[in-house]
Amino acid sequence: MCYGLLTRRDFDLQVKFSNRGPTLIAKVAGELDHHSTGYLRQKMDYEIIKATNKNLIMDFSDTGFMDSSGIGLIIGRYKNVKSMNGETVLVVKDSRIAKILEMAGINKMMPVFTSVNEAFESL
Amino acid sequence: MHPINEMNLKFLSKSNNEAFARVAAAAFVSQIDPTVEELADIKTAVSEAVTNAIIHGYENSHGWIEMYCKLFKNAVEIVIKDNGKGIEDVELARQPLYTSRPELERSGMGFTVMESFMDKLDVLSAESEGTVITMYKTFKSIDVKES
Repeated sequence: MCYGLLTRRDFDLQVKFSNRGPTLIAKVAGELDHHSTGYLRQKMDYEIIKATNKNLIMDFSDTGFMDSSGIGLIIGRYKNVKSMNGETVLVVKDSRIAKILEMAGINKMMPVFTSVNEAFESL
Repeated sequence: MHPINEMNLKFLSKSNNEAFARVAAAAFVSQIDPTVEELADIKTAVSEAVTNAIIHGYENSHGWIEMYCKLFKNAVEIVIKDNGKGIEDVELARQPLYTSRPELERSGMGFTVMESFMDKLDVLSAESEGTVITMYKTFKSIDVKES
């Protein structure tokens, strides 16, 4: 039997982009797993290439769920932004998400803040 | 200790079933009333195990994944089973940051996350037969004597 591909974007995940000076802010809301990272990766890379901004803030303050798939997504975008001489900083409020990122040593690669304002001022 | 309830589920190795599996497990476990944090630990661990079966077990082809949940008064045992290609070296796969699929932007943290959010994790695997992950968690918030 052949099971078709998804015919609609049925992801419990939304990403909204905004600009603040030299910084692109990606606000990720919903649930981030292997299923939704494919979609998010595509959206973010398109926006990073298109945007004239130098730096990236990935804002996970409205992200209700993240498993280790999020780690790969963050490191991938970090590398892409770095290759264009930009910096990536993260905003994380949920303690479980913070714990997962710490396990992978993400906090040693890039700064992690609890608010977008703090993140913006650090750049 | 005897289980007070059991649940078995069988679903296709499609990535949209990752959310289905973790929500189903959490809904089943919620009947013994653990904390929101403990439920989130279960969701995260189930998500990791099911993702492993989809990406590594079946390598994104379609096969069946089975989930067996045994609920105790203050604990749960969850088994995630696939009939995929199996893990060549389980010990290596369990190492933090090890991934067999770096091209997929995988972090290699799946087993480490499962280990840290659950109390016990067993991985049984045979090449070209499949993998069985057994996880166990006691909910410290639940007093057995009281219930």
